[in-house]
Amino acid sequence: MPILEEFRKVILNPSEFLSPGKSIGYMCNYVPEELIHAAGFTPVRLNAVESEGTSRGDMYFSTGNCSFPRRVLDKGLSGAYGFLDGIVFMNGCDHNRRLYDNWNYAQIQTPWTYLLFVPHSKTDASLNQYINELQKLINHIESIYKLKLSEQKIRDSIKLYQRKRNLLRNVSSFRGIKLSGTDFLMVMIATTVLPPDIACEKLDELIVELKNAPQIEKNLRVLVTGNCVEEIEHFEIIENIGANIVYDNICLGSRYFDRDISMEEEPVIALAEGYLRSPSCPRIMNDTEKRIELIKEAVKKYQVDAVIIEKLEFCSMMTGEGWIMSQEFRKEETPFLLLTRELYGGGKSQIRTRIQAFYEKVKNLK
Amino acid sequence: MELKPYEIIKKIYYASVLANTVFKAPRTAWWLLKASSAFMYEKETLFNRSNRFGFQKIGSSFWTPEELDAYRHDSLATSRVYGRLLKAAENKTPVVWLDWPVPIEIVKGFDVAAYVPESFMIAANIVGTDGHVACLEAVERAGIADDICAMDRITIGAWLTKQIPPPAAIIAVAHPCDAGRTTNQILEYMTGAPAFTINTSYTKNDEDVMLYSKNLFEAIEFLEDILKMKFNWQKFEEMVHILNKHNYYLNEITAMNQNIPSPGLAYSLQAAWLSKIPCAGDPDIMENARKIYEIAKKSIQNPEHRHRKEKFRIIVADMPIVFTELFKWIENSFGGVVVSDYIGDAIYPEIDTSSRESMMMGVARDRLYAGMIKQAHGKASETIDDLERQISQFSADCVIFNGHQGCRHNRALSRMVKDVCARHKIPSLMMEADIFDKRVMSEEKLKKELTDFFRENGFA
Repeated sequence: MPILEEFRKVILNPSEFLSPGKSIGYMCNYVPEELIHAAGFTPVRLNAVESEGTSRGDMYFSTGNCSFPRRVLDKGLSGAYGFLDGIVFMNGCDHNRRLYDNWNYAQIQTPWTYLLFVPHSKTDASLNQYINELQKLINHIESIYKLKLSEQKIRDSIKLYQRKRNLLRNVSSFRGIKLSGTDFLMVMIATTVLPPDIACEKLDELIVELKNAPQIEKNLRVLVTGNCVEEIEHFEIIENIGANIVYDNICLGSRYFDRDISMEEEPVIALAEGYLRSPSCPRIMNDTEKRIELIKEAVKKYQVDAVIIEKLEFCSMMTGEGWIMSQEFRKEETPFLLLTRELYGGGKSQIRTRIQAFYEKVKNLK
Repeated sequence: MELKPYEIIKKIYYASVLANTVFKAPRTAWWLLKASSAFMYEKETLFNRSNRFGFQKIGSSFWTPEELDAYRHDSLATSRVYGRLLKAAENKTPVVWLDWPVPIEIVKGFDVAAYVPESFMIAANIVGTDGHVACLEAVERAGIADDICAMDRITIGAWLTKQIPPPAAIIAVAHPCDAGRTTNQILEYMTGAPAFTINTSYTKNDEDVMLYSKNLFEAIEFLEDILKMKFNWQKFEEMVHILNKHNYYLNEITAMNQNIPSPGLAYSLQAAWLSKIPCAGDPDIMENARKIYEIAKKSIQNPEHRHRKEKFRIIVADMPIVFTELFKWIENSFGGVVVSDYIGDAIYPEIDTSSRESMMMGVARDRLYAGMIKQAHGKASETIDDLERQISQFSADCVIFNGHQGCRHNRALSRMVKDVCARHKIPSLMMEADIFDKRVMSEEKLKKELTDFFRENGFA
């Protein structure tokens, strides 16, 4: 599909598709892009795509830290994020909280940086805390750019982003039928760096092309869960040896688009509620049961044959979550593979062998 | 090592009772410790393995009779906590588990036993240094990877090896780290107990502390609902008043440690931190602090009475090693005095006792200032500024950073720590140890690294 080539180009060189001085970087799904967009900027999700390694990042982080922030910092130090006008970091996890600190300490030339503190539970007190933090972020943006983020502007952005999420949901429904999980991941990466209106246009085009596209080859139906998964080549390995990723539960996937923001409420409250109370990631506590339930439902709904749990080395959060999932999948007799890897960490052959052996086992069970 | 059910808490309880009894005659106790130090102190052997850790925790033979007398109160408070826990296990009465950044006062206001994993973890070697390892191995056997801090894995291991009674409820905290967050979720899953998470704040400003305290009010409501009991506000108020006095002494001791020569009480402050976690609001730990304060005052007034010369001053800018006592070993072997560390450095603000709300804000803020939470809960400046202050205030000659394996946010700051020390023109040692797990770096290796560092930098 030709439109997929366009998405690929975005990933390879995002700054080409963005207006100079009009982009603000952000980390993680709990930073409401709507607030950045309402200020007249394109929210650009930070990623390690096309990063060259960790050597520069390692000067600040230790080898006991996750490869994601080490790579993103490395990318920052290489100047790859020089086009950003500012960055909203977030306390997603300890490693990423320290990415904010090390980014500043390394004196990377970003005009401004901000650390958004997002609560770790969904209680009423947490919601109020989050509303408060979002208000602080708004004040910060307003004071830097000497502008006012009016309710109407935020509402318009909410509407646009809701459209984008709906389109992504629509595209996602083609997975395993006409679209590979690998291509969907590429679409996700591209649409989280593109201006949302352009992203929507391209997603519209993609949906038209998908409707006319031939069915893809039927294979084992796999669900991928985890946190940070952004390596297209990793998904290629998973799919090229006999599987289709039909659904996911990752940051750059369903956890991004399975979220609805109310248009009825006061916009900041609506954003806080929508973001905090949507399907959570393991950083949110007292919600494990719901998360697992959601995956179990997806396993049934998408007739999943096997689950791959992705965990990055040194990720405490996924260590716990992955272990709990393993216990539950074992009870349910859902075949699963817990895969620990470094982001772009190589070892392709080893990973391929492990997945291949897992597929053999799953096929034998069928 | 095979652990019997409740073996660790039983031993903590009996050791505390014993210490409280023996220290009633502090001079005799001192002579006893002195006499036994020949085979208890130097290194772990087959014969001292199960008691050496406890021996070190009561100051080996380095505490003076006055310090032993002070520590008696600590033992008494500790024995009360663990005695109650054992009784609850026996009678199957409710036990509430709570993380250490949760003010224990909100549980002690109920008539229930409280279990604080962090306090247990530090003391778990009471059965020998294999106590921690036994808990860790149980976790490994359960298939949980070692990407989680050993401190938290020990709690999971304690549950798996039946060292702690089941919880009626868990009060968890969201900060300061991922390991704590994930461990709470694992324990919630394993025990099936109802859990409530408190979002401690990432900054120390009033607005954030207010939100943190609102979480505490919600937690009390949650406990009232689960335990079917009413919270005793009068008891809470009494505890806050004691806490204020307790903090006054701790703050004073910390300030006096800045003196040259230092009274060398960082180890006592660390012990006070440890007892404050499960015993805050207990008059005996306040009395312990008061007596140490008197000792510090006397030491400053009569520096010639210090039995060892202070040759150089050290800051331990990370969590100290728990499975062996190093502060006194360094002092004894090299004349290096640990004047401040990540844990014991006490700068607690006074709590406004004018209303329930102000007191709740006060206890919330108090835990934000507790060692480890103080440095770990927000931006890097919380740690780095603190280190800068400690280096200047305590006139440090060098910094030791243990590089605790499981502490991801702290390890992400190693460059900044090194640069701070370089700016102050003092050497720093960055180790790759683990505070609990001796399998990562043994006592011998730790001592060798420290010896090499002191020699290379002209301290020895």
